[in-house]
Amino acid sequence: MADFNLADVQGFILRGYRMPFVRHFVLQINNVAGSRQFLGSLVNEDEVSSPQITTAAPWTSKPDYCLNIGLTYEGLKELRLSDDSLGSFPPEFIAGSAARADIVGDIGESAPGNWIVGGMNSPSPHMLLFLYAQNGDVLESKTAILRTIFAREGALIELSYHDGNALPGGLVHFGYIDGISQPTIARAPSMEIPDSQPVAPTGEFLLGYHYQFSETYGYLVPKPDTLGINGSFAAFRILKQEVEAFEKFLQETAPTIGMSVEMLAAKLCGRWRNGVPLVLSPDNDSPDPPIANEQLNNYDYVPIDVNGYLCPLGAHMRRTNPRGEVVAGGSGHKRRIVRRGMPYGPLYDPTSPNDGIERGLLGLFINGNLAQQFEFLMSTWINQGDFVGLNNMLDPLVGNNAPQESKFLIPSQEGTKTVTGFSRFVITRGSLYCFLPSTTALKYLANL
Amino acid sequence: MQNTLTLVLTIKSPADYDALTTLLPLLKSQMDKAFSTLNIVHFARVVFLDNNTKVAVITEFDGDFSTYVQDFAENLGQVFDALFEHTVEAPPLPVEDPQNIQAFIDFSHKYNVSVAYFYSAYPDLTVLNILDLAKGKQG
Repeated sequence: MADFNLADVQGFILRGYRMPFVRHFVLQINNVAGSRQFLGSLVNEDEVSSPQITTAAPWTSKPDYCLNIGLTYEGLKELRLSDDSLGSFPPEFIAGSAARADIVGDIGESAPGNWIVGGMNSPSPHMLLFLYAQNGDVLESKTAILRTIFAREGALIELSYHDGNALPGGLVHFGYIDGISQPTIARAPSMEIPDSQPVAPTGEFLLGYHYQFSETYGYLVPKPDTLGINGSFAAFRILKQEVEAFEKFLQETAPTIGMSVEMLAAKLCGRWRNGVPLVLSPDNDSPDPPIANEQLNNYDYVPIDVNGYLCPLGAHMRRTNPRGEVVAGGSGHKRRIVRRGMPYGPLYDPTSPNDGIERGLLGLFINGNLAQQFEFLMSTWINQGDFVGLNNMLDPLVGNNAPQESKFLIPSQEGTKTVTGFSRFVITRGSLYCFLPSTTALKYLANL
Repeated sequence: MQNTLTLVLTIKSPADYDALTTLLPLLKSQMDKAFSTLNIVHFARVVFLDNNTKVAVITEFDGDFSTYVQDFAENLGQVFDALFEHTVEAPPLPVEDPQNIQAFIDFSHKYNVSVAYFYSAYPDLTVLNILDLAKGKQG
C-alpha cells in the first residue's frame, strides 16, 4: 500500500474546483514519442513550458485554471504499454463505454451509434484533457498554449472539444441546484458539505487502498504499481437533457395528481429545486427556520421515512444514493460515486421554447471501479427497480424510460399517487471510460 | 427474476464430513446475519447426499449472481472458504480476494446443477417485496 501523497493524485478526484468554465479536449495520439513527451510536460513542474496537471495538494490561493487528464484503454495501448500491463486493467475499462452501452442503458436514441464521442461511428479517442478556468480569457489563453503543444511534432490530433459553463446559482438545466451530495473520502481533506453517512474508504476512489467490501482488499490495481497506485477511473458522459419535455411533463402532470409543479419536481428528484431535501422539509422549499447549508446533505431516509411518504423510494437521489435504506445486496451506503459535472448550452428560457438549442450536462463520474460503482448504479439502481422493491420502475429523471411502460409512485399517508406515461429525459450523446493516472503514472508513461 | 443455485460438491473424506457437520452450527449465526443483510435470498439450505460423500448448497434468490457477487463475497466469504476447504471441487480461496472473484463466479456457474423443474408461487415477487408486504408497507 502506497503512502497517500495528495500531490500524486489528480485534483478533481478529491475536490470540486467550482470554476465557471470547463473545456474538454478529445485527443488522438498521432506521434507516440511526441505524445509521451506531452504527458511528461504536464508534470515537469515547469509552468513556463506547459500548463501543469492540478493535483489534490492543498492550495494557498485558488489558481485561475486547473488541468486534468484521462486516458482511454486505446490510448494506453497506443502509448505502447506492455501487454502484461494492459491486461491488468479491469475488463469493463478494456471493453470501453461503447461495448458496455447495453449494461448502462445506452440504447435506442442513446446508443453508441449516435454518439458524438466514443461511439462506433466516431474516431477512437485516446486522451481527454479537462481545462477548468475562472474566466473566459484564461480559458482561451490556456487553450492556445495547449493547442501549440498538441501540434508539436504532430503529437496529438484534436478530434473535438466540448465546453461547459456554470449556470447562475449552480443550477443544472432541469432547474435543480446540483453538486450538493458528494462522498466524504477517508484520509482525504474534505471540502464538501458534510454528510451523515459512513466515510467512504479511500479505495473506493483511489487505487491501492482497501475498498468498501473489505478491510483487507481493494479493487485490482493495474500493473505496475507505479502506473496503478493513486489512479482512479471515470466515466465521461455527454448527457443531453430534454428540458422542454421535462418542463411540459411537470406542467401537465402536476394538476392531474393535485400537486404543485414544484412539489412534483421535488418528488421526482428527492430535493426541491433549490436543493432543500424533502426529508428535511416535505411541504415547502423554504422552511422556517431555514435549513443551514451544512445540513443540506446531513440526513437519512431511515428510520424516519421508511415508507417514502416524505421522499419517494423511486426518487432520483434516493435511488442513486440510498444512504441507510434497506436495499438488495446489503448496504445503501456503498457504491458511492464522485460527481463532477458542468452544464452545456444556454439557460432554458420558458418563454421561448423550441429554440432548437441542445442543452445538457458534461458529466464526470469518478470511482475506483467502473463496474462496481458507475455501471452498478446505472444498471441496478437507475434502470431497474428490484433493488428497493420497485420492480419494473426506473429512475424518473435519468432512467431509460419509455412512455408505454414508465411509472413513478408517490406514496403518502393518504394513499399512493401514480405517475405514468413519461419519456426518457436524458439522452446519452457521448461516453468515454477513462483512467485517471497519478502524477507518478504520468511520468512513467512519459518515459516508457 | 428469481434464480436458483444448486451446488453439489464432493466431500474430500469422512473426516471432512465430520468437520463440516461440526462447522455448520458454528457458522449458523453468521449465515443468518449475512442472508438477512443481503435481502435477495429467499431460501438457503445445506444438505448431505450419497451417504455423506457430497454436500449440496441449494438457494433461491433474486437477480443475477454476478450482480451481487461482491456482496456475497463480503458477507459469506468466510463461510464459503470454510466449506470449500472440505470439498474436492473448489475455487481459489479466499473467495473474497478480488483476484479470485471472477473465478468464484465461473465456479458457481460451472458447478450449478441445471434445473429440470422449478416452481414458484410468486415468480414476480422479490425478497424485498415480500418483506414489504409482510410489514404492510405501501408503494
